[in-house]
Amino acid sequence: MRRPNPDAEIGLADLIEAVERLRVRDLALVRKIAEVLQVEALVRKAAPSKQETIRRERNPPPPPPPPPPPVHTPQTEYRPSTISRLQDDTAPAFAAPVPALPPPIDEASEPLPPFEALFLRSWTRAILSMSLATPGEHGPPDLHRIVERISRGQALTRIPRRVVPTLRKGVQLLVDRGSGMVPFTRDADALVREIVLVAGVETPVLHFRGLPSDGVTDLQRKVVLPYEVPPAGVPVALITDFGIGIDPFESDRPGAREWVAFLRSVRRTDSRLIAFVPYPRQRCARSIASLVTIVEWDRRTSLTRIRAALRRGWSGR
Amino acid sequence: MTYNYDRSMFEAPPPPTTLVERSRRDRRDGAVYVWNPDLELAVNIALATERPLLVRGPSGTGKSSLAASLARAKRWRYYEEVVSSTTEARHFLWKFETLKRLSDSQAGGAKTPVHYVEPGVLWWAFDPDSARRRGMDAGALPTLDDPNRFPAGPDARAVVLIDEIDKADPDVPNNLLVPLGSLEFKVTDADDAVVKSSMPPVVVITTNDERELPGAFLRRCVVIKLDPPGREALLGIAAAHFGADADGLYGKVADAMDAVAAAKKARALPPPSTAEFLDAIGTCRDLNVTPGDHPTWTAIERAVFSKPSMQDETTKS
Repeated sequence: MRRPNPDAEIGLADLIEAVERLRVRDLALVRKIAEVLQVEALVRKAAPSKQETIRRERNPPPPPPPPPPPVHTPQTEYRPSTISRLQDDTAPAFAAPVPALPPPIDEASEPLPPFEALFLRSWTRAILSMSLATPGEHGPPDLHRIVERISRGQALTRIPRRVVPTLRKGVQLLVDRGSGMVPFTRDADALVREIVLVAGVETPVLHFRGLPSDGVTDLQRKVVLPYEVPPAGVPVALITDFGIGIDPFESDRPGAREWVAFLRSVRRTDSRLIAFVPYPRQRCARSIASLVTIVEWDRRTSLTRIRAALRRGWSGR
Repeated sequence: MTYNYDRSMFEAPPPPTTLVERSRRDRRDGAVYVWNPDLELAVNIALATERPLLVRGPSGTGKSSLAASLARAKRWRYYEEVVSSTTEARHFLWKFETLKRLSDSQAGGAKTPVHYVEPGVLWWAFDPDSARRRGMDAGALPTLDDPNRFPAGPDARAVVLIDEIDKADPDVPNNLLVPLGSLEFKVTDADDAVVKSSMPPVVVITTNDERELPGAFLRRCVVIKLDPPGREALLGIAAAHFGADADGLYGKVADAMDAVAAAKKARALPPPSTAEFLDAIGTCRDLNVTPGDHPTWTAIERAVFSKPSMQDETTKS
C-alpha cells in the first residue's frame, strides 16, 4: 500500500492513483476527480483522448442556432420622413426602421443593489475578534507553570493563567464621517454593527470628521463631545481612510502630521490602535502606518494577513 | 448525476428502509445519512489517494455525520475530536494529565509519567493496542478502554473525525501534517514510545469556513464542499429521517423555510439549514402542528427558523 509523503502536496501522482484505483475510463470523470483534488490545471489543457476525438468526429456538435430576427415595436419604431419615404427605393441603410431606445430609468425608484460587505462575510467575526483582542492572563490555569513552581517548593501566591487573546477590555470605536468616507457609508455602518456584536453592546461608538481630536459625536446621545482617550489597555479602533479619499483641495483636510500627533496622543496611554482602512496599506503615509495596526478592509483580508498586520503593529511599538 | 467507476472501496449505503428510533437519531451515530454521488466520489478519492478528506460547508449540511456514516457502512472503528479555540495539535496524539500527577504527588502517590498519558484520537486510530497500553509493554500498566463506539473487527481500519478545525489556532492544521502524512509519531511523555500505523486511517476534517485554512494544509487534502440541498433532496432527507410524507407536512415546512430563507437573504443573513428543517418537522410531528397562520406554528417558525438574534436588534437600531 502506498505511503504518502508528508512533505508532498497533492499532485499528478494522486490523480493517477485515484484514476487507477477507481478504474476510471471517462475523461469527464477524470476532470471531476482533478477538481476535487484541486489539480484541475493538470488536465485542463490535456488533449482529448483518441476515442473522444473519434466520437467528436462521428457526432459533431450541432451548429449554433441562427440569431433571432430583430423585433420591432410598431408604436415606437422610427418612421422615415416623408422625403425618405418618397425616395424609398434609394434610401440609405441608416434610414431603415430601428427600434426605439427603452424609456429612461427613474433611478430614485430603483432598489439598491444587494449589499456586499467589504470583508468576506464568513470570516468577518474571526477577523474582528483577532484584530480587536488584547493578550492577557485570562485563560485556564497554566498547569505547567503551577507544577514547576510547586516542584521547586515555591508557594503559589496567585494562580498563573495562560495568556489568551481577550475582548474583555472592550474597544473604543471611532468612525470617520468625512467626505472621503462617503462612498463607504453603508460599509462603515455594517462594520460598526459587526464590531458591536463582537465587542459588546456597551462599545462606545464615536463619529468624527477631520480628526477625532476636533470633537466626536455620540449619535445615541446626540451630543458632540471633546475626545477622551479610553482607560489604559483599552484598544482604539478607527474606521477611516486617513484622508486618502478627500479632495486634496479641501481646505480643512487633516494632513499626515495632524494624524500622527493624534495617534501619538492615544498611544501615550498604552492603548493599542487598529485602523480598518478601505485602501491598501501602502497608500497610507508611512508616519501613520508606523503608529497604528492597519487592517486592509477588503475581501482578500484573511487571518493570515491580520496576524502579519498585528506583528507589524507590535514591532512598531 | 451518476459517475461510472469502481466502487469496491466504498459504495454509499442507501437510506435506511426502516425508521430509525428518534432517540437514535444522533448525528454522530451515522445511522441515517443521505449520500449523493459527489460525496461518494470524494470519499473514494480520499480512500484511493490516502489523503485527509476536508469537508467544507455551512452549518447543518451533514459534514460531521458523514464520517460516522462511513464508519458504520464499512464497519470500521470510529473516533472523533471536536476542535475548540484551545485545541492544540498534540491533543490529537496524546494529552498529559498534569493536574492528576500533581495531585498524586501531593498525596505521596506519584507514579511514573507514562501513567498520566492519555492517548488522543490519532493514536487510537493508528494503533489501538499501543494506545490501550499507553505505548508501554504489555502488562506494565492497566489497560485503557478503546473509545470506539462502533462494532468493528480486530483489523478494521479507523475513521477519524476532526470536527470544526477552523475553530483552532491557525497553526494547528499545519502541525497535523507530519503525523497525518508519515502515519507515525513519538510520544515524548511515554519514554519516546513510537506509534506507527500499519493501516492508514480515513481522516475526515470539517470546516465551517469561518476562517481560512493554511494553503499548505489545503494542498494536502481532498476537498469537498457541501452545499445546502435543493428542495427535492431536502424532502428525501426528511423521508429518510421520518419516513414517507403521508400528509404533505415536509413540503409545507420546506415552503415555510424557503420564505424565511428569502427574508434572511435580503438582510444578508444565512438561510436555515437542513438540520433546522429536520428540527421543524420533528417538532411539528411531536406537537401535531401543521405550518399555517396560527400561533403555535408562528412560535415554532420563530424558534427554529427565524431565531431572532442580537444581530437583528443592532440591524433595527
